[in-house]
Amino acid sequence: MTPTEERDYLRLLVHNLRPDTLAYNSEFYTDIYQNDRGNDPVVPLRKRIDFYDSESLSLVAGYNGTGKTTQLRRLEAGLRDDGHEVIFVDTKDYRTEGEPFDIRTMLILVAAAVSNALDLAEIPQPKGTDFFSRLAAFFKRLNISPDQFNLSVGPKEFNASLRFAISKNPSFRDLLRRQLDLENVLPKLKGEVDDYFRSVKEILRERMGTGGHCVLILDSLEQVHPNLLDQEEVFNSVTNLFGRYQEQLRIPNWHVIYTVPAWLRLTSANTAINSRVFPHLKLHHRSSGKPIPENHAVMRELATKRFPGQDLDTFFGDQKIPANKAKLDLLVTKSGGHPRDLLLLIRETVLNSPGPLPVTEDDVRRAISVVRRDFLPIAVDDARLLDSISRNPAELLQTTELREINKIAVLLNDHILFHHINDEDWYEVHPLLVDDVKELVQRKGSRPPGKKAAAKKGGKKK
Amino acid sequence: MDENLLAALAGRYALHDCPEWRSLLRLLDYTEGFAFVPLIVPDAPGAEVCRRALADHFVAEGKSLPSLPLSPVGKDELPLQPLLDFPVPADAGALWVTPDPDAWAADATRDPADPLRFEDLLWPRFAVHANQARDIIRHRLKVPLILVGTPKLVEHLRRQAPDLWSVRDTVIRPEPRDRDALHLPQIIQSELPLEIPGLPSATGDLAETLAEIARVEKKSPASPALPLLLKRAASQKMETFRWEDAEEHLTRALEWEETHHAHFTDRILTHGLFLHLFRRTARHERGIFHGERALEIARSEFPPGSPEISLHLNNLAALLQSTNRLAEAEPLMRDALKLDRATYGDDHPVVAVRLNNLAQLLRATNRLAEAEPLMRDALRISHAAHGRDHPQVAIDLNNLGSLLQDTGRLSEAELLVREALRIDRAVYGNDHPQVAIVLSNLASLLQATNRLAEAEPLMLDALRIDRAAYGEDHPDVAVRLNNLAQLLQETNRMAEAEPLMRDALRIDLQAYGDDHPAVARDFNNLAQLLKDTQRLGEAEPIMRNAVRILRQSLGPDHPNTLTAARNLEILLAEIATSSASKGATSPQ
Repeated sequence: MTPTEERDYLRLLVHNLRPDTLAYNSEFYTDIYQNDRGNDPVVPLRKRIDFYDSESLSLVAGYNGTGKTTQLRRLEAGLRDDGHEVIFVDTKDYRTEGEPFDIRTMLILVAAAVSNALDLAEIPQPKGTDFFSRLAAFFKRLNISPDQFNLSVGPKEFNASLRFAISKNPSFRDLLRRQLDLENVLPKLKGEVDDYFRSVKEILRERMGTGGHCVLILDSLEQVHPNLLDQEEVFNSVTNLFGRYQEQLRIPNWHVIYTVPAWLRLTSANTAINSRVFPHLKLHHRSSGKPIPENHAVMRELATKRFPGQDLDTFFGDQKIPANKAKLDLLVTKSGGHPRDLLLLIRETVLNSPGPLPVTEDDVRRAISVVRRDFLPIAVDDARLLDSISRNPAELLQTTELREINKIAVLLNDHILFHHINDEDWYEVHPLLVDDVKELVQRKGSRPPGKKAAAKKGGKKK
Repeated sequence: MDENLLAALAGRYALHDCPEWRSLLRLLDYTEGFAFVPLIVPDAPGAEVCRRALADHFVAEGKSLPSLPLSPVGKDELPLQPLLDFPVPADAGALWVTPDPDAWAADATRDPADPLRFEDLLWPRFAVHANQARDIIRHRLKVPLILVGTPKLVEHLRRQAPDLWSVRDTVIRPEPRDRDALHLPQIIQSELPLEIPGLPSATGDLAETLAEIARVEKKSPASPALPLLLKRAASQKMETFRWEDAEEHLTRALEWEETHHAHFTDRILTHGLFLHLFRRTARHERGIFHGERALEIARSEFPPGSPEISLHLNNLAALLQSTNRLAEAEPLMRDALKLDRATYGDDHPVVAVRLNNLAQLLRATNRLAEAEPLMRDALRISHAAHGRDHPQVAIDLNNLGSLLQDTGRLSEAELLVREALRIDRAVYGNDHPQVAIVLSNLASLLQATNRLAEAEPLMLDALRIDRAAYGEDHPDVAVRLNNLAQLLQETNRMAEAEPLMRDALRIDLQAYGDDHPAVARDFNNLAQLLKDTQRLGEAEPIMRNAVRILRQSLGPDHPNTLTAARNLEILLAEIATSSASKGATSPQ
């Protein structure tokens, strides 16, 4: 390979390694559940919708970068193949990730998203009236005027400005929450939303064959990233919405799938929540720690598809030689089964290799160290918590204190902590960080009781 | 930004030789269209060094590097808007997006906990919106986006922009080199140096000096050799911390000189020795008395405007500074500077020393912005006069480093202190006490940035050097023990810290007696450790002692006295809480 050819090869590889959300029918798509169909969450979700003839509510949990959206798109395609009508909504267009959840704004969000989806697909609105017009009329009936939302528009423009404000204006949503925070508003609003969905179903029924169902998939609701000050309030609001108000989230004669944060099962142990998880691909057994070769092979396959010509030899060296094969194996192990981290590790290997190809083991190790630093520093308290979890992987919760649960939620959110499933749930510290956690805990030891001094020590001399 | 600083920093970053930087260049080479690259630097000057290097790189390729400074905006505005509206030129190789450099640089002088820090205002809102608008950003920009910030940027992206963060192409963290190779530090003694020319040598055998004194006293008590011998003996006694003996010798020398109308330079020297003695033993009022006498003599005997006068102005100011009489010290120090400038011109090394001392005085009064240009001027003069590798340059670097540490510009401070260490090691070798001072300062700097694991070996090394140079029982060893103990305490190794603190206390009690500020410092630190390990009853009398000593020796308004008094208050409150809760839970 000449230097020019090598550069072209690497440019293409870097392009292929882009961590974008993948279409399920992309050439790069790898079925990560191929050896573990029992834990493939798409199968039961699809059956549930196909076999039940009225309605259903499903909560699914997943982690960033593990292929959740790709799998939901796969579900969407499967359901369409089965003859159902599916509306797929990325809720990021309707909320920021630091906002608290609330049942009233959620109902409005869901209906607004469907209304917009119909317009986008050029499907006529029921009776020619979109949801925003209905909502403006609803507010009028409640004697709520546009200026109560700080919208300086006349009644005629109210519905148009609602369309914009609901999706683009967090301050508006905040006002909305407060204006509607009256117990007796909820049943009326719920009735209004249900009525809209009933009418939409009528429209869609004409497009479906017999036996077809209406399905709504609401993606990205699991993205909850409040700032530290609001953390407790926002986490509580999620628990409240999907726990206390779960029944209100159902829509008559629709199958609805909400994505939810994976930690919800921790905070809602005493509610009726039963969410399904898109698990991480586990690379070793919990009890024995022995590797699971078939899952390593899946991750290798996932990586291989990104290499031009699916040729690993050019980049890592002849794969028949164990030392060369070990380079990708090491990256796979360090990814912990997290697809996006594996792509990142390979990309860093490209960037950290001074060349020429193939890359050396040193290049690989340098890349690992670069990615590892993205997770550091780890707070000492977090390290202690992670250490105790890694010693008892099935016992995530030592306490039901909200603070502790929130902390675990953040660690899961940041994918510092991985969630695996076999017959039971278990948890694993990201392999990139295991050594750092151990080292930190060893160095810092356990904290003695008592508060830390508030004042600075006096008179320290250089 | 200061061009000299940037030039020095560019040398330290040595980006052409930095693996992370080469990764960035490879990424830019391999990528077509958009890429997302957070670039993490310690501060605004570091960012500017990197920006210039990348701009130079692009120039060679016929490309440009447009730069967009960001500022926080009002609640309902999108912090992202300037980015979305930015007209990216056709020849752009990337877009450099950075916090507004001037506002960002001002963060360096703010407390890390200050909620008005620029980066803290900017990133949370920016991250939330950038996460939502990531597809729009990609679509609009079509060139790599290099987003520049401190490690806080990463924190905010991870938490509040997880989608954007998870599609990062790489994260670049160029760092100044020689983090481990050189070591460096610091600076400023907490007290200003005295300048006592003609100080008798303390080397030689004390017994011989005493025998000689006895012989002269007996044979020719009017001989001018007698006060000289007494002063030598005093110096030798001070070397072994026998302060009372030293004072007695000096008193006899001064009496002789006054009785025999000795030459004024001899009398000035004796006052200088008293100054030294009383400062070491923290009897500052008596020290000031002798400083005033020395200045008086100098003013009456030397012609007006003589540089000798400036020296005594300097010494008296140093003594006043020790007792926190900063307002009185400052005009003296300014007079000294003015006098030496008139004598030597603006660029003489003596002027550099005066500048440095005045700057330290200003630093002590927290006028950091005024102090910094003086220190930089001093450094410039020392550089020009002595070259880059002179120990005076190391002292200046060290002092400036301390000042920068005070203003939170830790990475620049570290650079300077490491450079001072390099110089001192080259001049004195690895085992000299001057190197120990610098090591200790570097360690405290690392401690301030929470790099405790890096700080510890440096502190151990400084301790080793001072023990070898001075023996086990020297007060400088006590300082090292104390600093090391505080580091251990910070890493929660209380059991290891306590014996070191007790050893430091033993040394200082032995060297200074029980009413010296150094002993008060040891008491304070030990009491804090006892408090942290819940031995409140044991801590209380010790803490009270610390406050008493500091009130007496430094005065009730000295910052150290105030800190100790606050520590005592906290301790007493904790004792009260603890006994209340015991009372509440004990059976009636």
